[in-house]
Amino acid sequence: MKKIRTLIVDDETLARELIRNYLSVYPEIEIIGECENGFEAARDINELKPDLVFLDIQMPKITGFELLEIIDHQPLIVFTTAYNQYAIRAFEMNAVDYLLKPFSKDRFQDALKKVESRLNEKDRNNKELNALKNFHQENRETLERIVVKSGHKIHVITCDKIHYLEAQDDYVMIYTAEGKYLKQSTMKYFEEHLDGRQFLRVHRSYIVHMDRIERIEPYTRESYLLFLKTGEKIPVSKTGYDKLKEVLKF
Amino acid sequence: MYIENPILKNKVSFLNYILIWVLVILTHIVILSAFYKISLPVSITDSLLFNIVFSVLGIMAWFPVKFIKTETGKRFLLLFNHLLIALIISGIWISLGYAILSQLYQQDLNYLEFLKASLPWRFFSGVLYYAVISLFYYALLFYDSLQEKIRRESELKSKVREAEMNMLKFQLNPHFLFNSLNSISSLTMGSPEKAREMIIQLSDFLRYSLQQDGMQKSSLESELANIENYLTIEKIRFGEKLEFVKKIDEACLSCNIPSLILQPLFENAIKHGVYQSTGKVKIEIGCKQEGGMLVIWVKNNFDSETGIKKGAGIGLKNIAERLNLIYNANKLLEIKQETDRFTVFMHIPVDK
Repeated sequence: MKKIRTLIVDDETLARELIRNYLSVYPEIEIIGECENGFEAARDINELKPDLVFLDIQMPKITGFELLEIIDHQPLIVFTTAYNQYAIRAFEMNAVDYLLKPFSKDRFQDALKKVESRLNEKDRNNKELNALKNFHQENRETLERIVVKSGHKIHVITCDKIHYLEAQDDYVMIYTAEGKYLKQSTMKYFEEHLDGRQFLRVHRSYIVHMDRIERIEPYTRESYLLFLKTGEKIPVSKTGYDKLKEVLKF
Repeated sequence: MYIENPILKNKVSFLNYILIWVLVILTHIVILSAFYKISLPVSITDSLLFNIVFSVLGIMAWFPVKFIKTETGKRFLLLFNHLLIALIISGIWISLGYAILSQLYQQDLNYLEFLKASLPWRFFSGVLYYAVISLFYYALLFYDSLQEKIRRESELKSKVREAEMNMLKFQLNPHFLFNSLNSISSLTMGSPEKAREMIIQLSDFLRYSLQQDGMQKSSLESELANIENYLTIEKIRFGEKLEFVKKIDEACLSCNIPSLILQPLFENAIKHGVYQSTGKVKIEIGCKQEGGMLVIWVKNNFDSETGIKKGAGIGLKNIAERLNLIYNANKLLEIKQETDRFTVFMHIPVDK
């Protein structure tokens, strides 16, 4: 029988040891690695392509949920965390199980049974991955930061540092002082999730951080041009102009 | 400044003040005309002049009450100051009254005789009036400060309750308590000895937190012991990642500080430093005495790449409010944020 290649992700050594110990009685499990933060986990999941990941949620660098946004390979996920408030979110993201720390051997066994039955299901393919990604995008929390992967690098962008966003087909280009980053997402998603007190969609293809605005000038009869403090120019539609007028009160 | 005067502050007290003086004026008139057989118009003029002048002086008597410091141990000086002012005011009062009345009634020798003879007791009554009015002001001030004290105390109680609630929540904080229990669970497999130690440390920490009722103060030494207990537990969880440094002046150890006031600072340092960082995090606590104040600082470095976390301010705001309520002073908490370092300074009056 093919072994279940498993990765353990937790920032605490003792927590990882516990899982390793619990797993030792299952000959079908092969532990292929341990990671102690989200960055390492993202790298290992994409490179080692595990079948199963035990994943902590609160970790340094990026959270377990953010990690799922930037991985290309989709393993089965068993969340292990001390927080109970993420359970619903985790299950809606199609996680196999959600283990509340500290958990017993019996409870752990249940989780592994669920893993096995899930592995036996056919054609799961990328269903989970999509469910995970979509769910994260549907949840209505205001974003504080955005995690972007470019090549092998993972960038954590604090929303305060964003100058503006530009639509590019199925992607959104995020412009910051440090550079620009491409993220697979939609303008609608960012319009709904970025802090409305800071960001405003001024055009079908543009969302701008309002603190970056220097001045607005008429462009054509129906449109305007926004000059940013950084010297960049952004087109503003008629509706965008009305929204600006309302928010900035001019 | 005028507004502050309790008599002028609202209409009712001002009307009451006038009413009292009207009564005094009437009594004055009756006494002069009935007992000293002075004609009614003269009695009325005499009474109006003297009493209206003093009613104005009485309002002005607020200033000495307000601005002469009432330090304990200097009662005699206070009394002396007021006596001096009373003599001056009374002196001005009767000289003014005498000058005007003696001009007005130059012909009425009978009255002038009486006026001269009455000066000593008028002078004395002026001092008495001043005493009554200033005592009234002091009573008002005392009442106000009593009200203020009661208000502050109830506010302090509610803050303390809030702090206790937060403390309770902290003890039940899943990230700390359940993760610690998870670590213990893990330790039981390979090193039961260590597991037992950790259970004892966790128990000690919880017991100390539950014992403190929040109103009381504890010595810096016992607070530090509790913090070290807490950090030992976190060290078991995070190992080498967490480094703790103490820079405490021996003399500070016996000083009292509000119970559990350090706890949230370390909680913050751990939450934003250790939990968020992959590298080493150094938490430093220092304490020294500076001009009658205990200066305590808690400093930690953090990973500047992980982005700001909202909500960090609430815990600190609670501490600032608690210090404000306990010590009745502002700006006892000072925050310094650098790119990768966060320091909180606390200024606490030395209390042995």
